[in-house]
Amino acid sequence: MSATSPAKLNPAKRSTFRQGLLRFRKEAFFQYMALTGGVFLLVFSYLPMFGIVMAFQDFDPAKGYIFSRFVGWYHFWMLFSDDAFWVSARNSVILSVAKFALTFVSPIILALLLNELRPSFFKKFVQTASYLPYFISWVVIASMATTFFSGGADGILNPLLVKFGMLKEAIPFLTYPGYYQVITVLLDVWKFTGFSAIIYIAAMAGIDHEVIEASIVDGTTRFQRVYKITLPMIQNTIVVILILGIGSMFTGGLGGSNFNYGYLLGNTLNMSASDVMDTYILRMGLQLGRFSFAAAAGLLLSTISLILVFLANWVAKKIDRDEQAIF
Amino acid sequence: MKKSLGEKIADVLIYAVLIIILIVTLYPFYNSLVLSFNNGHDSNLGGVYFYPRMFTLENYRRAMDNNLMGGAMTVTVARTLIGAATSVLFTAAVAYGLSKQDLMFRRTYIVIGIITMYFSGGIIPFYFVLKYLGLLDTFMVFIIPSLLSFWNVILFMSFFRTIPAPLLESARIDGAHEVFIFARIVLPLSVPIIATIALMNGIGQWSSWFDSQFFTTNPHLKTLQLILYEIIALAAGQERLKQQLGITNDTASYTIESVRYATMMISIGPVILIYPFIQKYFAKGMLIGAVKG
Repeated sequence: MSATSPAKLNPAKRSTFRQGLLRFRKEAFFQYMALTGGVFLLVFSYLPMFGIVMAFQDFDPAKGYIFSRFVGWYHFWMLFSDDAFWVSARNSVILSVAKFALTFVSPIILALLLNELRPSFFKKFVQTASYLPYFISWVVIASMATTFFSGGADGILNPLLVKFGMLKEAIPFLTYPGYYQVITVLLDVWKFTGFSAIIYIAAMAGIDHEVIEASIVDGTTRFQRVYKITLPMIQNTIVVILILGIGSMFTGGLGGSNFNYGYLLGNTLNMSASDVMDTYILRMGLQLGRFSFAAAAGLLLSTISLILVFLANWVAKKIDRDEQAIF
Repeated sequence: MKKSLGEKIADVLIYAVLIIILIVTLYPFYNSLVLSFNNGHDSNLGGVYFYPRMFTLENYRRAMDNNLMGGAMTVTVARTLIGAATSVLFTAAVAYGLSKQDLMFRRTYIVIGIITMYFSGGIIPFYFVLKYLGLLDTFMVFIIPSLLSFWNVILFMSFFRTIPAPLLESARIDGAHEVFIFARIVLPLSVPIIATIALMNGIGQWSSWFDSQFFTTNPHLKTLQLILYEIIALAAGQERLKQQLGITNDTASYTIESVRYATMMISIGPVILIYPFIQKYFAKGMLIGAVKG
């Protein structure tokens, strides 16, 4: 921040510096609060960014950043020649796109369904219940999924499917890469639909009731009202959520479901589908100690996320909704 | 107004779909609850769906007997309370500083903050920052790094904008100190957003396992969720081992699986009990976020 680097010799600049100092003192209370936040971000967000330099070194924790040997793009070439990296990158893309698409659509559908009901205990109950999964930890979800899709007699899905003759014998779903993909996408729908619907339900509640009543008098059908009135009226909300979604599609990162399911539900049998970039980075870095190599992969992941954010922002500007652009 | 046949069919369909959604949402919880009260070996035979067939409290007894359980409970409760309280206060303070419209360097601060929302150094360099700061393997690694997220700063800032400026101005004219204004006027007016962020951070703390797994090695710093994860991994391993060894009948009334259900219920119990009361705050917070967009 430029407050600490005044131009010393120029008298005019110097007086602006003095004015700045006075102003700083006047608003010191606010400045210190903002500065504490700045220092915090400097340490926990910016130091790691500078730490990326290790991706271009043979980083040795004992030597530190300054004395470790510089190797340029070496780790990136190693990364690109590792088949497991490409598998994890492919899985990240497939899972992210599928989750993004489904968890974008499902809350809108739930909100539309709830919007069709008159206020009642049932409506309130469904809505409240639908948030519940959002508050449940990844580990518990992984635990419940293990039970639900278990191939043993104590599972839930398998005995049902066998009973109704849809399967000849139980399948331990989570050990198959293909089923793993479907299941984790569905788990995301399960976890996020209710909570994400809140915003749409609020937007629908804001629609002027007279418009709808007028259209009923004009003899519109229910589906016409949904397509011609409700959806167009919440279009802005949908676009905002869509744009925010593209931007954070990959930044789910370690809080995101790709990583959590990959780590918690991943096993040697489904690894070809469950190993994503985040799990790959963690395995290489913290478990195998290939810090520089893993940091290089991490830099790629962060860069992809950043590109997606810019893309989302560009889309927002393109469709001429300035207020929806992030910057 | 009379409904046509089509409308009635649509109504029935909507109710049917919502009831299915309700079942899919709630049944896994109910089933886990039932299994947590059922004899573990009996559960393995299958068919326990709606009520415990062989009721037992042994699973809970075993879950609580876990050597690490007491410690994990303490760590989890402590990080939830301390983490939620400190992070919300720190975030509020930083956001209040930045909410002063004519603050010198305000734009610079905000740009610095926004960059952190969209770009990160990644987990490996972050790990080394924690290492060099001496935070690894301490309780503080659960608290300090999660003190501030700029997303929440923005939520707070947009809330502070709704506080009428003349209110604060008149307090200033009356000679109130800025600290007083912040602590006694601004914070009490911000209860909805404070509750929202505190609860979100609290739930995040309660649910976390990642930092406990990768940033600590001391078994006494394990969180509830990590213990649960270890039981899941153990149960899967033991199941394989039993099959390999051909063990079919155990005499104990519990299995690792059934203890897992009990541990799981202990870990989600508090969340299920409080969330119906707090969800309206979440809904509000979500909307504040959306207004900002």
